[in-house]
Amino acid sequence: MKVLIVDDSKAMRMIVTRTLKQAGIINLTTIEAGSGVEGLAMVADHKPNAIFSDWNMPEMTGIDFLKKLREDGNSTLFGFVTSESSPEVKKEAKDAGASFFIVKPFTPNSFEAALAPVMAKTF
Amino acid sequence: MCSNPLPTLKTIEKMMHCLLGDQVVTKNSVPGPDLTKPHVVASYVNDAHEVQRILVCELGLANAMGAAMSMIPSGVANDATKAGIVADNIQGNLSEVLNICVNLFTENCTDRLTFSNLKVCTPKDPAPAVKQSVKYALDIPRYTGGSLLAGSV
Repeated sequence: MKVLIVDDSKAMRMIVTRTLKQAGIINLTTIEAGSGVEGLAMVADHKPNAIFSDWNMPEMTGIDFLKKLREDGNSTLFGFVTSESSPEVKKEAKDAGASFFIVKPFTPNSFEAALAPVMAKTF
Repeated sequence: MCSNPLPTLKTIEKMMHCLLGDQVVTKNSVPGPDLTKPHVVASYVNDAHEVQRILVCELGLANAMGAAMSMIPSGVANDATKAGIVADNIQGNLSEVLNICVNLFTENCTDRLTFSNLKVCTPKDPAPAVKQSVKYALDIPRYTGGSLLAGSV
C-alpha cells in the first residue's frame, strides 16, 4: 500500500510513518510532501493508494489540497492528521470528501480506530 | 473572550505521554517557569487572530521537548539552552509540539484556537500578562526537565 504523507513538519511525517507501521498497515510504502502544492505533484507522479494530510500548512492548506484533488476528479482515499479538533473543521473535512480524521497527538490505537472502517470498505 | 478552561495535570500528562512517551513525568509546580532566565512563549489565537492563551516554557524544557520529538541528542538541546537559544534543528520540532499543544486548550471545548507563534524571551522582555494560569513541571527521561505555565490572556 502506497501512502502519501503531507505535513510541513519533517519530524511529524516520520512519526506518522512509524505509527502506520505500528498500527499494522502491511506492505506499506510511504512518500512525503511538505505542503498541499507538493502533495498535488506527488499524487500526479506517484498515484498513492491513500493520503494522510496535515490541515495547517504553508502554500496550500490540507483542506484546499483535498478540494483541489476532488475538483480534478481524483478520488484517492484521503484523511487528515492534524492538531485541529473543532466540530466545524471535522465537518468541513467530511463535506470535502475526507474519509477519516485523526487528531494530534495520536497513538497507534487512534490510527487503528480511525482506519479500520475505511480500510475494510476500501481495500 | 475564550471560555475554554486551562489544562489540568491529567490533560498535560496525557498530551506529553502521547507526544514524547509514557516515561514523561508530570506534576504540579508551585513557582512555575523562572522568568529571570530565557524562556519560550507560545501564543494561541482565536479566529480573529486575538491571543487568547499562552504557554510559557523554561528554555531547557523547550529544547528538550523539541529534541525528544525526533530523538535529537540531549547534548544538542543542552548546548542550546546554555547558549540561551532554541537550536536551529530543534526549532521546527518545537513549533510542531507547541502546535499540537493547542489541544491542551481546546479538547472538548467550543472555541477554536490555533497556534500562532513562538518567541524566545529574555529576562529583559516584559513578563506576559496572564489573567489566570496553571503551572506544571515535566521531566523527560534522557533530557532536561523544567516548568511550564499555561495561561489565559
